[in-house]
This record gives sequence, structure tokens and C-alpha cells, in this order.
Amino acid sequence: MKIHLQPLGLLHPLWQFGFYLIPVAMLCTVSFWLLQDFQPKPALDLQNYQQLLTNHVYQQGLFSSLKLALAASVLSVVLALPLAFAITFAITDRFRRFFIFALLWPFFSNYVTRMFSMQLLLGEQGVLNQVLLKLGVIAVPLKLLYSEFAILLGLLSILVPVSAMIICMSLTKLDRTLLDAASNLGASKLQTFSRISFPFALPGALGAFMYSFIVSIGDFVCPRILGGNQVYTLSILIEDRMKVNDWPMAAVLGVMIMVASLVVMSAVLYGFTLTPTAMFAQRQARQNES
Amino acid sequence: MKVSGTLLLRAYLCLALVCLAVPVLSMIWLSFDANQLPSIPIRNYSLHWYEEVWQNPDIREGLINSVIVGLSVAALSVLLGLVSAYWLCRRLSARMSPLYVSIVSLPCFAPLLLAGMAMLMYFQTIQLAGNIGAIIAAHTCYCSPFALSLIRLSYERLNPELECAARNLGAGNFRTIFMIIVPQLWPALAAAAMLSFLVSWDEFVMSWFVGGFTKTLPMVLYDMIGSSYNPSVNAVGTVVTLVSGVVLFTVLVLSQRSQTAKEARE
Repeated sequence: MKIHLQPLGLLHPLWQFGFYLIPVAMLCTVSFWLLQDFQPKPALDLQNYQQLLTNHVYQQGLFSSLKLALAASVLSVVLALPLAFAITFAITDRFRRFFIFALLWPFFSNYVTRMFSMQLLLGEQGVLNQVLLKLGVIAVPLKLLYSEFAILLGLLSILVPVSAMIICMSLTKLDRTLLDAASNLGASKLQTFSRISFPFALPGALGAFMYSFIVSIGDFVCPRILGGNQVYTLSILIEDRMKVNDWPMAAVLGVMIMVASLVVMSAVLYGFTLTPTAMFAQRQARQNES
Repeated sequence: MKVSGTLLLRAYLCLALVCLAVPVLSMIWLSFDANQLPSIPIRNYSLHWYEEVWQNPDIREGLINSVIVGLSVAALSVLLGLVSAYWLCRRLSARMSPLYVSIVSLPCFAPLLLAGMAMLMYFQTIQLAGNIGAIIAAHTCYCSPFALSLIRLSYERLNPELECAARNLGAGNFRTIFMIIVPQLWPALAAAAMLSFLVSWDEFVMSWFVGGFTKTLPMVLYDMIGSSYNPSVNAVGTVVTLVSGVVLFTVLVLSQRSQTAKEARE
């Protein structure tokens, strides 16, 4: 039997087309549908979008989602940058594998479990409070759980490891001899950092920001478990709408999430072209042409 | 100054690792607590909750579903990844390949929530929602780009003349794949399979939307978390975490191995 490999190349795009692109296109059309007798009915109506503009619950959801996602993304990049530098420069090759494993293991220790363990740690009867009480640091248990702070902490616990790995990947492109050359030419530590190592980390930092934003804006587990119905984000509102079969409104909120992610993504992609390393590559390509 | 800067970075790294590990470690520790409520220090250690979990039919079903989904997703992702890696490295022009890659990896660049709700609407329309096939299809969308990028990295380093030589000597496509390509790529293929399994084993959001009453382990856990404290969750969480740890370790070792194999060849 002879297998022709030629059409097999289309297998993967077709899979993504059939199971991803068509559903997303359908989501966009459903956002114009109407809910009649608790059932979504095909229509072409802007009523749902009108509701988004007039109902303050949705506006507040949009606002708190964007706020949380932006705060989480900025914090995760800021916390991950020194981590990436530590893994790339402050550790010998032998230990690097161990540290990467130690960094990624809690990340892969199941998302739901991780949020639950945060709950266990931060709760009023939680591990942290009990330890602090026993040590006599505090007299009354701290109220840490069910707040935006707790959600932020939970999000960071998943975002920081991956952000650090993304920045690490862009740092591996840095040729170590450049650092030696800089110090040989009399550059100070600070100059070497600001002119050489940091520019190489910049594309990774942008990528990490994009990853963090996309994950945190679309997450409903963390706000649900750690926010305890105190904070309403878009993702929670979507989950609620889907539960009562209100597809059109859920789809509108989903489109909002999609638009927000697209805006951040295009900003980051534009930012990539402005990074020093990209500028340098462009200049070289132009020189090669002429 | 140089030493202190390095030391500072190392201290920060250790602090970050401790902060990341503390929630998970405290969960593992509390899973051995016999008490109904968490109390520190633990007075009675026991395996009571593990016994309870073992006898819980919901959890057992979730475990079986998770394993079935994970294995199927791993197989499908490796298949799709291998085929498209071949296509990218041998057939497609350099101009077209970024487009191909971005179409194929689209699901990784959008929130999972979006994918989940879109797929639920779609699968319900075509009468496919709520069974294990829907979860497998959804997870494969998300895992196959990761598999592709791992396999492609190794495929790019293969010597194309070996494939030509095999063809010249009369091997068909089938034989070329299984006797020339797969033996050279196996660490990458295995790493891709394990990584896909790991991501699928972890994935909750899409399965929650698409799965309905077919529950994977994370979905069972999510149901158990409810309002009151349930110590069984500690035990399930511990088991899930340990499995993830073992798989992750294997992925890292295997990708290291494909790296060193590459260096040896060069």
C-alpha cells in the first residue's frame, strides 16, 4: 500500500479549522442571536451589545477583569525578570535542570489543585494564619482570602514560572562573549546590563506579558475559588450566563475578551519590532541587501 | 560587587521557589492529617483520606477518563505534530512556513475560556457535546502546537539526504517514516507525547465547558471544592501532583536527551 504524504500536510490545519476556527466563528455569530423562552434563537440583533453598554454589572465585570489582568501581567513580568536572570547567569549548568524542574513542577501540579492549595494556605483557618498565630506574630487571623489580593496571588503563582521560562528562552540567544567584550572595553556592570543583557531579555518580557494577559483575562477558576463571589470578572459572568443557557450574552462577553486579547497581542507584536535586537537584525538585513 | 549580585539573584531564586512550592507542599502535608479540619501541627498522621478517595467511584471514573483523554490526546498530537513538522521542514517554502505555523498554533494565542465556550456551542449544535470525544478533540487543538514545536526543533536537524537515500533504495513513504525518521526522532516524539499528556492532564477550563457529565479528574476536584473544607481533596490533589511531577521529569530528561543527541551528531 502506498501512502501519499502530500495531502497529510493539511491534516493539522484542517483539525484546527474544524475544531477551533469554526467554533470561534460561530461564537461571533451567536453574539448577535437572541434569547427566547430561555433558548438561544438565531437572529441578527445588536440588543446584546446594547445591554453590555447599559448594564453596569457587565461594565464593572469588564473593568475589574482588565484591571486584574493588567496588574497580574505587569507584576508577573517584574517578578519573573530577576528569576530568568538568576537561572541564566547565577546558576551552574549542572543545577539548572533541577531549578527548572522545581520551577515548573508547581505550575503543572494541576490548576484546580493549585487554586485549592492557595485557599488552604490563605484561609482564616488556613496554614499561614495558624503558623503566624502560633509564632505570636499576629493576634487575630488575617483576612486574606476572598479578595482581589488573593486572586492576584493565585494568578501570579501560575504566571510567574512560565513567564520566567519565556524570558529565559530569549536570554539563551545572548552570546556570552558579548558580556566579556563589554567588560574588556571598560563598561561598568550597570552599562553591561542596560546595553546588553536587558535588551536581550526584552522580547521575552514582551512575550511573557502577552502570555500572562491572555491567561489571566480568560480565567474563571481563580476568581471563583479565591475571590469567593466578592469579585465579578468577565470570566465569572460568562460562566454564569453559560449555566443558564444564555449563549448570546456569554458570546458578547467572550467577544470582549477576544478583542482585549487581540489589542494586547497586536501591541506586543508591534513592540517586538521596536526592541533593540529586532532593530539590529533589520539593519543587518538591509545592509546585506545593499 | 560581582559576587554579591550573583548571591542576591540566587537568594531571590530560592525565595521564589519556596513561595511557589509552599501551597502545594502544605497540601501534600495536610493530606496525611487524620483530622476533619486542618490543624497545625498535625497530631495524628494517617492514610485515612487516601482510603476514602480510593473507594470514591466518582474519583475513580474521573481518573479513568483523564487517563483515556490524556493518552488519546498524546497520540493524536504526536501524529499531527509529526506530519506537520515533516511538511514544514521538507515541503513548505520558507516564506509560507510562518503562516502555516501561526494558523496551526492559533488556539495557544487565545484564552482557553473562549475556546471552551465556542466549542460547547459548536459541539452542541452538531450533537457531539458531553462525551469523551469532545474533550479529546478540544485538548488536541491546544496540545498539538506544543507537540509540533518540540518535534520540529529536532526534525530541522535531521539530514534530508538520509530520507532521499531511503527512497532511492526503494523504501516507500511508510517504510521511510518508520525506519528512518521515527528512530532518529524518538526522544523528541516521546517528549512531545509526554508534554501533551501533561497539558491535557492539567487542563480544566475546556473540559469543564465541553465535557458536561463526562468528568475528568480536575472537574471532579472542582466539584469537590465547594463551600466546605473537604480533606479528600488534599489526597486527590497530592496524587495528581505526583503524577504530574513524574511526567514533567521525564519530559525534561527526554528533551535533554534529544538535545545531546543533536550535539553528538553535529
